[in-house]
Amino acid sequence: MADSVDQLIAAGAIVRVHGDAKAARGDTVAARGHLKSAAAVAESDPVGAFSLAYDAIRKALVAHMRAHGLRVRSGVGAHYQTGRYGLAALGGRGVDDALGQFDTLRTLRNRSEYRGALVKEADVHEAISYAEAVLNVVEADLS
Amino acid sequence: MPRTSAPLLLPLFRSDGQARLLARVYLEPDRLATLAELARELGIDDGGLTREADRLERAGLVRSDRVGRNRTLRPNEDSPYYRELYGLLLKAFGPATLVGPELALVDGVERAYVYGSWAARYMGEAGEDPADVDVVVIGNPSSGMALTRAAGALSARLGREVNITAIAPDEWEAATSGFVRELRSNPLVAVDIPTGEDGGG
Repeated sequence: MADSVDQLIAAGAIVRVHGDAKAARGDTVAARGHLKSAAAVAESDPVGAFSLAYDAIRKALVAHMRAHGLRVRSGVGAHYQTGRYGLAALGGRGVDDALGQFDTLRTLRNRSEYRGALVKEADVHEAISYAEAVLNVVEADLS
Repeated sequence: MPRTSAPLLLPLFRSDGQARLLARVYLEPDRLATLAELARELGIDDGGLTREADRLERAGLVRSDRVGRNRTLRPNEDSPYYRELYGLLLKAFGPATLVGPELALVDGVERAYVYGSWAARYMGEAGEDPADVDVVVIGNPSSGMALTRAAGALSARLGREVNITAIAPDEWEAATSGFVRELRSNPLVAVDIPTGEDGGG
């Protein structure tokens, strides 16, 4: 079962900061741009496109944190904690499947820098669909 | 196959053959095989395998069933050691049996091998206990996400990080890249990928 946001804060994985709605909107705009770019180069550059799609879902979650006065503690594992935050904050909002794939996206994105890691155009489209679903929920929350 | 008096992966068993037999019977209980088939599959002589099967049965760790003149083995789930023994075998020898069924769920995987330190220990090369399990897939898998999900599922079951690398068949055969040459010159454990109705186990 996913942790709650309060549990992540108590564990020190997430820390409280001043909320910043403007910066949060900036992140969602950047995430939208990443998704558009990812779709445009999915065929010619699947590894680059996948990285953009991953960054879009990550930035959507970062935007949600920013708007709520939260951020992950910086350091090793910050992206992993971002995924945990997503499940904690947005679980039960119809995007559980997409949030559940965050860690697979993160792992493949990391592995894609090494020899023999496989990123296909289909992976880009899969990643875009997850990122889009999460971004839609975050944008609705921030509007 | 190199023989050792005790397996280098979890050297608690009396012999490498005993450990492999137990792992095969405990970790793949649905893939029934006769003693002769097990001997062939595990590279153990018939007499040695029968003696080992008798010993394990007397100890209550396995049970035998007779089908005509053939004898098959299954784990004795009523043994007080069953759960712990299953867990030990899974962590130590699981890659040899679990990787194949998981990869069977991914389209485009033709063959696969475990390489790296786990494969070296399994093949009898001494060294540190492997921290992770490296798998190379030969084929043209349709999805990196599917391979990554397979790696995640295996990591969770085996308690060690599993990394999967993909190589196209022509690149593997040509072996012109340093990476492939390096892989092919080191210990490789072939993965048995079930096909058709066996898949997905």
